[in-house]
Amino acid sequence: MTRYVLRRLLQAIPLLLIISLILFILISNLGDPLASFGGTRRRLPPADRERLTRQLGLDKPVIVQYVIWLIGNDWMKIDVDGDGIPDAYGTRQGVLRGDFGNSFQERRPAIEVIGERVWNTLLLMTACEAVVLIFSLLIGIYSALRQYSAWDNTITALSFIGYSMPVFWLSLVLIYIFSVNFKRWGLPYFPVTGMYDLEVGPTVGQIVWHLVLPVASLSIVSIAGYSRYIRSQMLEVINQDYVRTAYAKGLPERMVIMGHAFKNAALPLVTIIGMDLPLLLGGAVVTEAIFGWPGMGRLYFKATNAADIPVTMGILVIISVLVVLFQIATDITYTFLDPRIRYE
Amino acid sequence: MCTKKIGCVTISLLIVSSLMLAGCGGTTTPTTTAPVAEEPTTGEMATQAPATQEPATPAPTEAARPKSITMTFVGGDPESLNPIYAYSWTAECVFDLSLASLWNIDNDGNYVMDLAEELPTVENGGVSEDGLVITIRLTPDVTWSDGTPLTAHDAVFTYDMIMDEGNSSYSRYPWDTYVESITAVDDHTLQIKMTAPYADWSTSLFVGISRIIPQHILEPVFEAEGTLDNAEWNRLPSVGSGPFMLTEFEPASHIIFKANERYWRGRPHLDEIYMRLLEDRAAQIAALAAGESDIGSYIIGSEIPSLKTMEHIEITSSINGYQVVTFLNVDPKTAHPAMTDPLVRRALALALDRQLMIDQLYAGLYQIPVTYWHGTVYDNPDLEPYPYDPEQAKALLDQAGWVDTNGDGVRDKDGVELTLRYKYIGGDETTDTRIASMQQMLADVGIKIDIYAETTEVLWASYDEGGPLATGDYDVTHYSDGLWYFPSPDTSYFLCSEIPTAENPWGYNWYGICIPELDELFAAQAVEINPEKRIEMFYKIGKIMYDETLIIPMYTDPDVWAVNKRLKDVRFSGVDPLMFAWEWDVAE
Amino acid sequence: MAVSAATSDLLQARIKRRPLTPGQVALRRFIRHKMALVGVGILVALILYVTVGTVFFSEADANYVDLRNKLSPPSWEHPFGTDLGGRDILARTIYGGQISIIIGILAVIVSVVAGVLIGALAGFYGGIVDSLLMRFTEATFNIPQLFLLIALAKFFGTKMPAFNLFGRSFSGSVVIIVGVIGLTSWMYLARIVRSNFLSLKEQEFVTAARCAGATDFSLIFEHILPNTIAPIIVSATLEVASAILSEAYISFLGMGVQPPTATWGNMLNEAYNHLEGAPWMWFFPGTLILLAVLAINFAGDGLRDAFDPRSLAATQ
Repeated sequence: MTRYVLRRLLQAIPLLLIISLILFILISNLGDPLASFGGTRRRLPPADRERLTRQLGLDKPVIVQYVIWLIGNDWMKIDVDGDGIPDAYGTRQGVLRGDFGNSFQERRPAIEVIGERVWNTLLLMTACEAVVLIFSLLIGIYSALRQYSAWDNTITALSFIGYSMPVFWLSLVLIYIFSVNFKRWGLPYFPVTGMYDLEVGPTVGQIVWHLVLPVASLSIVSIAGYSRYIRSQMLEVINQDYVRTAYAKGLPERMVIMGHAFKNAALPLVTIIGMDLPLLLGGAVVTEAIFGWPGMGRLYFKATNAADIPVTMGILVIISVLVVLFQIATDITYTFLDPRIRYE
Repeated sequence: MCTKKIGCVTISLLIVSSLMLAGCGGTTTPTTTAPVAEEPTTGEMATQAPATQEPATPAPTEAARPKSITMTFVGGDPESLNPIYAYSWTAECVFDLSLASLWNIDNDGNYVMDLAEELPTVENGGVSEDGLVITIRLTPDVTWSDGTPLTAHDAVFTYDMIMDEGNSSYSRYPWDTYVESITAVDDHTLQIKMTAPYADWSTSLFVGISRIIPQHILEPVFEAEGTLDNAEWNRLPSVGSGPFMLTEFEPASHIIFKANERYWRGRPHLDEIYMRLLEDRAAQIAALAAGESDIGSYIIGSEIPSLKTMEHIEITSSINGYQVVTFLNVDPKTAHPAMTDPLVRRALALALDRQLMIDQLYAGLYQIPVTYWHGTVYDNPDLEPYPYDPEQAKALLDQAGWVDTNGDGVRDKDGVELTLRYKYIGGDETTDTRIASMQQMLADVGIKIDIYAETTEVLWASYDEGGPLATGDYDVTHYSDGLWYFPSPDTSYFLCSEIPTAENPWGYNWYGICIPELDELFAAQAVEINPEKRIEMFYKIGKIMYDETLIIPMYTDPDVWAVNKRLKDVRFSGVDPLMFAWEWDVAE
Repeated sequence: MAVSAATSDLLQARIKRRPLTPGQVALRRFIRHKMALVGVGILVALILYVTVGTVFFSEADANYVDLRNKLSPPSWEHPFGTDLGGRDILARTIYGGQISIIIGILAVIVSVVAGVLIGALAGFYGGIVDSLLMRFTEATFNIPQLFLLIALAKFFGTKMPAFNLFGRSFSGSVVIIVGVIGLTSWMYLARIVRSNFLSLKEQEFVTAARCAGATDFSLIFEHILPNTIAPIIVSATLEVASAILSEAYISFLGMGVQPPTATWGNMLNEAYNHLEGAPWMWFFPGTLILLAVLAINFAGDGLRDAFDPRSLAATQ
């Protein structure tokens, strides 16, 4: 087992390096980071542009920029004052040592910029994942047990619809009903933007209240999909012999479901949840945009538009690492769930 | 993984989450803050300003609840709270609250003294005869918020920091071009020596976005690290010199200001200002509607109709020298052959119904400018905006030889179709719609427009990167632009020498405008100290640009503010937006 | 034992009747699937909507700006209302639908070609080729599609010129979106194809064909691939839905097809500012997207059941 994990981790490293190289080249060509310095109201004077290009390291070829991004430049001399002669050592340590560089837009460490936002996204995603898990399980299992009942058919139909909706369309509908119209009708309405009301401050209550609509729109689509999946998995398992045997033995239904059926249906569920991470992050971009949630997805979008290489690459690297780790964790969870699966 | 555990875990999670939802649904009410105010209070919308210095007003005694207001800004965080690194309008607004400058300029163009005792002129000896030496006397007894005296040495330190190689300051202009040296003759006298008589010194040195930073805090940092780039003070200034102190800065969320007890004009009326930093325009409107925001900033015309329905909101605007201009590529080397003909350009201008666009898309909020210097004394009063006259446009095009010979609806000449590439910064629905309507209007006179919506980084990329505007790879564009040091009129956008080339890739003249007479006039005005003569020169410049239809001004782009009527004595300036914040108050 | 005459007639009849091909079996099962038929019906209706609709509205109608008529609610003149530019939303959904659907189909073609190629090569050759290709697949799969979409969309930007198809002029950004969506959705199919190839290539018919001297190319495309066509078809069908959604997402973020060309996705983007004031702006394009995706999901579900009623492959 440990050997397997080690091997996967080792294999992941060249993988991540290649990904980062491809992405770096991609991101470096998104436009001119200096174009919008000064906002759209004041263009950068030429001498300053030259100086800033040099200071941000943008005058070097892309490959050199990548190498510096990866391993830093404090081991080599760079030209600080623009006369063409390298005179002082650089200050960057490179990603491999944990230095993602300074954000072009905000002139402070990219890690700080990302770090401030990443927790908000994680909060959103965790809340969403939890809601998805609970509800898809409940709905899926219930549907499976009451197959072909009116309830089941309604849920199936609704699931199809829910599954086919673009997340942001759902968000718009939810906002329209629960924020705009609730307010019009004098009902307590849900807030549209932000994580909390400024005057009240970031209390738990505030954050949960502001989480409701974003989590609802993100999770309904997933719940629709997964509940159907769980339903079909459960159906397959329920019709197996060993389940019938369990019933025949006189075990109560709950024990049959939870102890026997569910465990076997859960295996693919783990894969799905494990693979869901990237999808959730993607959905988060749009949801954060609509609801003004100060998270990483929004930051990514802003940074990509501003061609802010350190921040964009930082986010992509973090995501890639997270996903790789998640996949390995998923595989390991498999072995606990299904003793038939063993890795060398 | 026992059966009971799964069941219990699931059920308990359910119970917990439903409790939380039920709990928070009841206790926290989404609507907070101010009730809707009924009567407007006196004087709060006035934009007239008394001249020169304001007397210090003692602070009123506080009620039990702190007087706080919320402002909202859209468009992201200030990139730095240290003026030598900042450039955005949001940052400038922050500095209006947290740092003092030498003087401010109000909405009528009057100089209101701040740190300086009076405006140096040739008459009072503040400016030398040849215009090269400027001596400024600072008000004594001004201190930073921690009690340390604010002296001329702080100004010298600021200059040194801007120029030092170790700091990646945003811009060294105009210091590097016009300033020879800055010295502190004594604690309260500052002397600036110029390399040439720079006509716009009073709107660019230590004023506007350029502010004085505290030497006693930052010099030790600079000496220890060799740079100010990573100073703590850049993110959270521990001391300031403006009417309010920054006490909290949460990126992508908010900034909290508290009244500066030691402000030299006396403590401001308000106790706190919450500045919310939003990324989304709709969020600001929602906040204004709900009373969650007292002051909304930079409102755009398309938001006016919904704001007008809000009874507790008042709308005010200040001229800031910016206007949305349709720029044309007239560089013979890269332009469409039709664009080098002034008749065609004039036809373009006549075919556009600007008033319709303003009325329909921007609630009639903006005006149609004639010259680039609209809103200043340099605007030529004899010129009228181009009228909307599509028939005349068609006649001009016929006269210029562009007729539709092949019946495809688009005029042509010598085998070249009159199809123009319109490249602009997309992303805003109203702008996209406006361009679509312009496309329609021009199609009606036989000119085809191909629309390309880009992002800033792509469109404004530099010459070396092949940026479309910089390399002349476009025919028509537009953006909001103005005078850098409004109300000073100087600009280098229309000089021949500023056309980007391989030798000079950073030139500003993306339009390819090259008229020797214009160049002469611009060169002369930059060093013309006599105000009347300077005005005459700009009248001539305006006329030339108008006759040749070199640019088509579309509409003014003022600062528009939405203010909750529960506030009083709130006024703004187009130059230094929040300069009167120390006067603002809440009506009881 | 003597067999009765009637039975023997039946038997004779049965023997003479040609057995059904797998395709025909699948088709029959498909037809029995009610939801799938509903899905197909909706799809046909939508396709009619975007094609026949052009008879009633010209493209100029869809783009005709009339500012004085902006944001007007549904009326006889404009059944779906007008947008900020006074353009008729009904006409725009027709022409926008063309683009959204075309993008969906073309993007899937790109992704199927890429996915099948990579999966087939990896599965057939195994070994190093397999390792490399699978690592590459994992790598690209790891990055959330939307993030990649955003970066790629910006990267290619407007570097493509406009082109003409079926008498309509399409902006270059359509090609880019097709490429971008296609290049970010092939991974799933690649894995399925690869695992099918891995198991199929050990089967006897492959060995037989190899002995008969078939080339690798022939083995892959003429022998093995047809046997794994079922999951490809199912996956491709469902992918169309996903592609239409992706286009909507990316247009909503402002990086898809640029206005004034309409797509269902960027119409939703425009509608965002008019949530309260003009709900018809988001209602109609959104519902159309919903219907299209719904219909495709129904049909795809039916297809999956038709090819293998026991298959319970992940709902993706």
